[in-house]
Amino acid sequence: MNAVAKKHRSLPAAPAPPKKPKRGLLFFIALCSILAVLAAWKGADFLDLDEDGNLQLSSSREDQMQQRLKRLNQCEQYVLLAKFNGFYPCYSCGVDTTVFLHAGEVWKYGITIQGEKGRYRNWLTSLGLRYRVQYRGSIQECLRQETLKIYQYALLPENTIRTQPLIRPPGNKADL
Amino acid sequence: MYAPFVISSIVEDNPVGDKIDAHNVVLLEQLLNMNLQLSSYGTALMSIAVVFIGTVPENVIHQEEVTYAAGKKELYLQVRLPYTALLQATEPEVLSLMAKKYLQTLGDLAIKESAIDFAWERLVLDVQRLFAAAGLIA
Repeated sequence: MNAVAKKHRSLPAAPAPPKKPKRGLLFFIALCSILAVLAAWKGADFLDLDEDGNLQLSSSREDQMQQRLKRLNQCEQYVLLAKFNGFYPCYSCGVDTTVFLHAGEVWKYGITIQGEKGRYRNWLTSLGLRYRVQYRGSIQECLRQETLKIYQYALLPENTIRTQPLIRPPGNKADL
Repeated sequence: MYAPFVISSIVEDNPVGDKIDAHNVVLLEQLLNMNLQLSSYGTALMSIAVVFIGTVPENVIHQEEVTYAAGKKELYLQVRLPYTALLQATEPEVLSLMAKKYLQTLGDLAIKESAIDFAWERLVLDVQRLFAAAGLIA
């Protein structure tokens, strides 16, 4: 190595003085973390520990889940029928917002499980409709039945007789 | 609700359901609306809806209930008709069953809801007279 090179050789960096760990800060963070976990744990009444110390759903949450699964197997596919001859809301009539239905004609197909009373109740009391149970079973099968009926509605005589047949029942906003 | 007295139904899609909803639901509703003025019994109620449940007994989705919406002044009642009786009954007999159940439900409410500003007893009496005059109850 020549003299010039020696002159411009970079000097090894002086080792940085070891940082003293800020013990106070670390302790504070650790304490906060523990407190946060404890606080969350206290509020998490949906969790429990099993005998091996593993997390599991609390018994009340587990019961709630089983109830929900049971309800999904107690599904109902229904049809809402017009009670009177008259005009009813229509979601499939293009620019028209109502359609004339004769008493007994289909307004909507739907499904429901236990505890979902709110949706069809308003239709019964505010639109002049009646409710018929067409199928009972699991939610998957109810959805299948509903789909079949919504699509096949287009072929019903009450629909084909119209000058402009509807693609789906007047009360169904979409195919599903 | 579209009328002071609303009647509707939740039934099986079978001949038993026909006995309730093919004609009787509308007959009962028209009878009440054409002969009674709900507003003459007080200000607490603008409408009373009664939905008759005519489903098989093992059905758990539809239960009897009473809901009062104070804001809208609407009373919603869901009442069950005995399915075994429906199986045997003719359509006119089912109308009579519906009238009896309607009257019984209003009578029960008249006892429970006496605090509400509404002349329950007078309404029950008038409904009873109306149904009797129509030959629906003895």
